[in-house]
Amino acid sequence: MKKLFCTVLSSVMLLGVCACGGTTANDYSQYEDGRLILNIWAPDQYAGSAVKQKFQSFLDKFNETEEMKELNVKLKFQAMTQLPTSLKTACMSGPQKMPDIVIWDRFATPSNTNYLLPLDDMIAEDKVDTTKFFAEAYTELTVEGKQYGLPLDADPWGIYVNMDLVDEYNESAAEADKIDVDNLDTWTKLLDAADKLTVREGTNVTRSGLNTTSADGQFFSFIYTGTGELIDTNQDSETYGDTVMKEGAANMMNDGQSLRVYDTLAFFNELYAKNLCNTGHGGTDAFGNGYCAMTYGSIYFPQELSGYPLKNYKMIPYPARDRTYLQGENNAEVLAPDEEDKFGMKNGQVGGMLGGYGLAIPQPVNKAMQTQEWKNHVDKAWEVIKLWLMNDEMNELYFTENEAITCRQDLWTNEFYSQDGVMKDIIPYLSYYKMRPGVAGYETFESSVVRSEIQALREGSQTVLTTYENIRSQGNTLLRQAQGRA
Amino acid sequence: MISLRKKLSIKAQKNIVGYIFVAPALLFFLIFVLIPLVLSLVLSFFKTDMFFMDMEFVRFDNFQRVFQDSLFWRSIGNILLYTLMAVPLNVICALVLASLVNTQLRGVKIFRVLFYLPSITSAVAASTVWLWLMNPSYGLLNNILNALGLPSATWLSHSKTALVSVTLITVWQGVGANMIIFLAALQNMPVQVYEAAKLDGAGPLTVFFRMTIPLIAPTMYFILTMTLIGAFQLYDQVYVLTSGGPANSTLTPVYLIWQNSFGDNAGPQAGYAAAQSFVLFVIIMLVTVLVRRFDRDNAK
Repeated sequence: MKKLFCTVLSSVMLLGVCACGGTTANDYSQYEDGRLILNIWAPDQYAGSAVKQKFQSFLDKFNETEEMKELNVKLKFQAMTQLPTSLKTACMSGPQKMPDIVIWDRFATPSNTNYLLPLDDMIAEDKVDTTKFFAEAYTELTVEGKQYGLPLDADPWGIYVNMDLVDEYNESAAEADKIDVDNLDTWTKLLDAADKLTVREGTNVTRSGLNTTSADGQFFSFIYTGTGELIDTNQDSETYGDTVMKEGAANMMNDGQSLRVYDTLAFFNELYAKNLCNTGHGGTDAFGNGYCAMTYGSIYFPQELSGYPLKNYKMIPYPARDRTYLQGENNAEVLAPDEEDKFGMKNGQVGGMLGGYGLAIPQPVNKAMQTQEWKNHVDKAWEVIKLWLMNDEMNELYFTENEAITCRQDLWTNEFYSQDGVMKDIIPYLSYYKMRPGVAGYETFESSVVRSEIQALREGSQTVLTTYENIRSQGNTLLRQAQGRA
Repeated sequence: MISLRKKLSIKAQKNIVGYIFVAPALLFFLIFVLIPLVLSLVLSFFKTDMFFMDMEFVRFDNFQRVFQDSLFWRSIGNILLYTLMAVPLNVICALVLASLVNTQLRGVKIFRVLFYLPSITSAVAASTVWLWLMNPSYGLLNNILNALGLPSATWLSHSKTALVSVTLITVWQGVGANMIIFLAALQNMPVQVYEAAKLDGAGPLTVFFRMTIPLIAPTMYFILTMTLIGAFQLYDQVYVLTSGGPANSTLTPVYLIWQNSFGDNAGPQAGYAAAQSFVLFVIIMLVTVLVRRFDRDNAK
């Protein structure tokens, strides 16, 4: 019995020690050289050595500025895997476990508003000129009229072209057949250039002209190049949150938005039918080693390419839609991209999908945990965000150190962006870039419905019309269920 | 304390000591299995996220949705097909390997270690290596096929071959652990029975099918059940190798549940994911009961 008593007592003591081990919510502030430490969490992309080094270099310089010293704070950063989940867990635990600032994937904002602090009052109080921000990026952090962060960087996606392979082709090509990458601005030209750059031995592709293996992930960018949408994001509409796709071939042909989805699918089908890509040439390796002449990537793709032999490449926006398939999925009709169709929509426009991060302040979900100390941290975090993003010099320090495109569009004329490189090439087209729709269930819809149906189309197991119908019906069901409308 | 000891019978005192020994395991079971199980059942009747924010009681709506969700049933179809391929292959390979290494030859221990090694390798790390081996262009497997004058295989990049490729990888990784269990069973077989069979003139195949298999039937049932349950819970290899693609051909229920509950933009779908988990739980239970019944019938 003595042993039993000792066991129970030890267990109770152990539990007691565990329970008392952490700091309490009221004394979690840490200081270094008398300056308050503010913790920043960044997504796992920041864990990569090159990105981490650049960001740390920025933070070191930022911390040493007079302005930060005046604020009496210092930033420390940590890259987190599964950032939204980690943040949610932290916000449940309280301020002592939470970061003060988070580098937030703007796309994930609508599903995580419980964990982010609305900044509207602070923006209004300090008269922050939000018109300086790239509107598309700023809006991505707005949910139901509330602003959950300020945009940090613009991450447009585009097509990367291996210029060595283009030059090699152009050397032996007749003048009329040469590939002009600066004017590779329509679907037809892309198809033609990809075909010219493809090297085949019989039916086996030994050098891919265009990465079509992972084209399914680029569907939204191509939709936008037809000035279309995929999801109805008009909150006043009865079909808000559904796909824009009308049911049945006849209805589809008589609706501008539906037709653009269908045309994009048919264009993909045409790309697949041309046999432009070896299945193994879908990754960075194939492009970096010269096995694939054109692939897709974000503005940060050059950082991935730095270790590869390829140095001579160019980034172009996704080309404009100039093909329609009203006469059948294998019967393309060429359009003038700048003209309007019978639905009053422009046929096509270069552009693509915009990604990127924002700076946000997390909040504990339990209001009782929102102590005065936490509020003091919030005040300091807000001052830092303002300084970082609204002060021209500090913002310049950020984007030059990190080789990023700032979301402050008034700074796009900065000398840094006039240097040769992908940023200089893509900035003129940024106003045509669009964010992905921020509706609940969208991520699953994209990965499990759209991409998988396009993969089935690529494998030739279904027609364009079947793919269209499957995306429409399965997509609407999934989206309605995820949004609680089913 | 002395008076308490006097009051308790010797049997009761022994029971208390027994309970104390069992207590840590029970405590772990309670904290990590039973309580989460009950909580997730409760969660399945609500519309909420993983952290119980904005909870809304929705009765059986989540379960109703599961039965209407074509994606979920596609994943169930995939996992049934996977189970049909992976479980027999795993059990047969494990038994064959166990029989092969169940000798006293010199160096046999090296083979035992080699066969067991994949089981102690991290699933994520091993899958990443397989991803390279199965690369359609640069992968070692296709290079070998080409060297033999055979055409390249699509492995993980085509819906017709992806699930088979995943099966091969998981069997490679899981077979070692089952081999060890079979080996333990084989080494505990009564030697006299084998000697008697030899005297009666039974050949190795007769001994294997007529004696070894019936004698290790309980072990086989155990392995079959555990492998079956493991097969239905396939997740890590799919996460690394295919993310459920191409064309949802390797989408598994657990991967889908993870996507709905922990996806970055999943929204308030944790309740729905919990309902999916329970439907999967019932399916696994039914299949396990069927296997048990089959085993009992065979035993009779």
